[in-house]
Amino acid sequence: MDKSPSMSFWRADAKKAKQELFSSIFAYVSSLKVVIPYFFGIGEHRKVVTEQYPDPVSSRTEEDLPAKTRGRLENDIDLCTGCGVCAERCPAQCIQLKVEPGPEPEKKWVSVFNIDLSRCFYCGLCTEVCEPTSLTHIKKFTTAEDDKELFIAKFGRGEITFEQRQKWNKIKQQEEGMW
Amino acid sequence: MLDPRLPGPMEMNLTFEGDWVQTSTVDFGFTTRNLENKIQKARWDAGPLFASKIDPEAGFFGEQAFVMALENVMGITCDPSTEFVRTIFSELSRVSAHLRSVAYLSRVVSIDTAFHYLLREREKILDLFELATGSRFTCNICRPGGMNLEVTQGFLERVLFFSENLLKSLPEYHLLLTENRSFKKRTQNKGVLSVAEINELGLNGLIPRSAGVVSDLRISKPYSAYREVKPTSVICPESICPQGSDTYSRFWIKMVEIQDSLELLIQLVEKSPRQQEKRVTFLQDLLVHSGSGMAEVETQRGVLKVEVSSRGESTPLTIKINTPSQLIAKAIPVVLKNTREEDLSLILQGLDFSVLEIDL
Amino acid sequence: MISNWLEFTKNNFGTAFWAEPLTMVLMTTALLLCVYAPYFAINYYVKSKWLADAQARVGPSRSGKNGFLQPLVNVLKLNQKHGYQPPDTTVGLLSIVSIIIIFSLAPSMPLSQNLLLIDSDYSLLYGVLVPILYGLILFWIAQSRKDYRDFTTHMRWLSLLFVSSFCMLAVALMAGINTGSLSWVAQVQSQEADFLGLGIFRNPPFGLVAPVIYTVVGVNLFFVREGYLFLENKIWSGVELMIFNLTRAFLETVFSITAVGLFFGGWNLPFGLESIIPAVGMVTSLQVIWVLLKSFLFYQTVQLLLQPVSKMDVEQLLALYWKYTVPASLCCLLGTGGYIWIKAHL
Repeated sequence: MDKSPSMSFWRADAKKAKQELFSSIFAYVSSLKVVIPYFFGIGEHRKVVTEQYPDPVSSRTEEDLPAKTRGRLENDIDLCTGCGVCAERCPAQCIQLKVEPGPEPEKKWVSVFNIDLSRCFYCGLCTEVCEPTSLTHIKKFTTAEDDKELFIAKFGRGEITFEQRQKWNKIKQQEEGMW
Repeated sequence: MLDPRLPGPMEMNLTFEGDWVQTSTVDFGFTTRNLENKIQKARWDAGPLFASKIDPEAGFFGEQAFVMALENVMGITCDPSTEFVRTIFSELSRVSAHLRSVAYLSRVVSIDTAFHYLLREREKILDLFELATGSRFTCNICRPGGMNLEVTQGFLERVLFFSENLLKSLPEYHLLLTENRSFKKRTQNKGVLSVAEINELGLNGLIPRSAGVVSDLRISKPYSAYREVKPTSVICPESICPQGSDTYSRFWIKMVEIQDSLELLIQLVEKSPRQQEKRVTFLQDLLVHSGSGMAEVETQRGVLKVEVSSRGESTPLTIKINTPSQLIAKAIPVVLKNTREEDLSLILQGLDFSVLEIDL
Repeated sequence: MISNWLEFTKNNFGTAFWAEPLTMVLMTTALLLCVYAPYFAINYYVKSKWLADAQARVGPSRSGKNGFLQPLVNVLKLNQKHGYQPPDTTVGLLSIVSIIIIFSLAPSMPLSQNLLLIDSDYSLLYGVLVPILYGLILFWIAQSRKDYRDFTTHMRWLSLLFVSSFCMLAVALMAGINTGSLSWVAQVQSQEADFLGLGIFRNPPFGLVAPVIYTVVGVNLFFVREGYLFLENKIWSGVELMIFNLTRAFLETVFSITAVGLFFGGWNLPFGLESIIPAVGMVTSLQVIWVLLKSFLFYQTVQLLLQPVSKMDVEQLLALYWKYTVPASLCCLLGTGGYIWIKAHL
């Protein structure tokens, strides 16, 4: 195993060595031709590409991202019907949903709607199956937190207490009495 | 195990005689994500999602293969206009993955300028993906029967603009890398695989093509829009590497395939129908009748095969994924025979296998 | 300046054996802190900005205005980075190693007529003993890890240091740089004017070999790729990485300064212009600046020219070194010494 990669050059005859020398100089100079224009910034594709995030002047902000960007999840609780398909379909099981009968008979009261953002991997399945399109991806993508509990995004309206339900029943009876 | 010379977490045991490697064994399994198990336990909806993570560098091939297998089971076909869009995405993924592997090869050789330039080009493709689908790498848009995507005229124009621009600037990269004598000397005759060894190992895809053997699924068994727009059969001539396939010829063929894919993209954009069918979503819970199906897709390295079987419920019965990197992993001990120790990182990077694909 | 110092020590401390080495050490330290350290930092900063410019990106830009404090920040950061450390090593000793190397090479720098440190026989000791010391330290570190692969790896690392130091000395001896060299060499040769401001072709036949060895070995250090390095397949800790980077970068600057001394006229103007513009040649305090400016341009040009070229791994260099260049540089050194002795005595 005496093969040495550096000796082969010296064993070549002089003519071949001369050819190799000239070809290497030529190849070297032509590849320098590629690099040198970058110093002068000639041409559109030779400009500096770095985005110095989070400096807003030289980098893109969240508003510059495309419309379909899959960032954090957000639920518009007024549109949400509480069907629960998103929680069923989520492959990471990051949505917790609790639904109760509300003051209006057609609409359910979504008391708890928690999304665990540390489990979500932004696949987009829950927004795909949401019929009232209340669950959407927004462009915000920074989710780093110090505390694990801060990862849970809460959109629910809150649990209905006994007093609140009594109040609603009373209002409902009053309305029925009026009719 | 976590060695920056290696392309990913893997364990290698090498025996040396001086500087020359005599025998080598490779061990994988450190980054198992248990994808097959996950797909089996979840619903059908999550299938394309997990399948797109088989090879995160080019995620679209995984979901395309899975959805094609699913369509096989369900007995439905995708309409032609969506086939064109799927093929556009698959060619874009191919270009992106090739750019990435060439960039990392030039980083190993330490031509850092080419590394930065090529990744800058790759960013444009990822921006295109983000514009159309919302995610840069694992898009999760293939659905059985179509795609969850509305492709606009603006997007197609951007794809055309990108392809034409990159075709114009490819000669720069040829000057910097392909015809660079120092790069050639560094990569020629390193990691040689002869044609006989390739046939014995049963490799398919890029490595046989770099040795001069025709092996392209898009031509032999065309699927999707490759039936209408045929790619050119690219193989490496013998003058580049007479012994078979070495690191330089594998690099050379990637550069030619980038050019070929860009020309194919231009043809696809011009031929794709302007009217697209309505997009397909998983709005209804998917119930697949019992049966089994298989699909093969040509990724940037080789053939990705997905076999799916169903028992008539909303979760699959079995799924089997065969990735091209698993075959390449078997070729590593053969390639590394009688190589020098300092060429290890170069050869392993030049072979272009993904550790995540092997571990699945 | 140095002769004044030597006189001062001789007058005040007699002929104490520690007087001259102490002077040397003090002068070298002052040189390092006031001349080398800022020059090295500027070199590194400009190089990273130029590289970034060629790669369509912004270089260091956060530490200080436009990132001019980046070299200092790198040193501090790597010094505090904890990594795998074998139980028997001391971090303090590892940090000193790079300083030892710098001390060994500083005396041979052709900076100016008055900032000569090689004008003493102790510099020969620096050049020979220090690599041995450094090698022994490396060996001791590796042994204490108790998992080193084999002896050849150590020999390779030793050879890297041996070769660089030997080459520096060999070059200084053979080329007879316009420094006056070692006192016993100066007795033999006469001070010749630069040929077109180029300091080559001195002391043939070995003087011709010096540029060749310099080009083959010294410039190779420029070609070493940046990146992670391995000693017995373990990733280096922050301190070791800092030592390597400092040493490598320092050797690069040292070689560029020597190249200027060899090939570009040292502290003189090119084409013998110092006779026409005597003002520049006479102001001896400006000679340092002139040498540093030329070597700065040389260094940056070489870094620019290395952009599109593939660089070698350290392991490939080492394979080259311990087989070919260590024996070659030893032969040159002994040959020159013999030639000079013969010429002096016969």
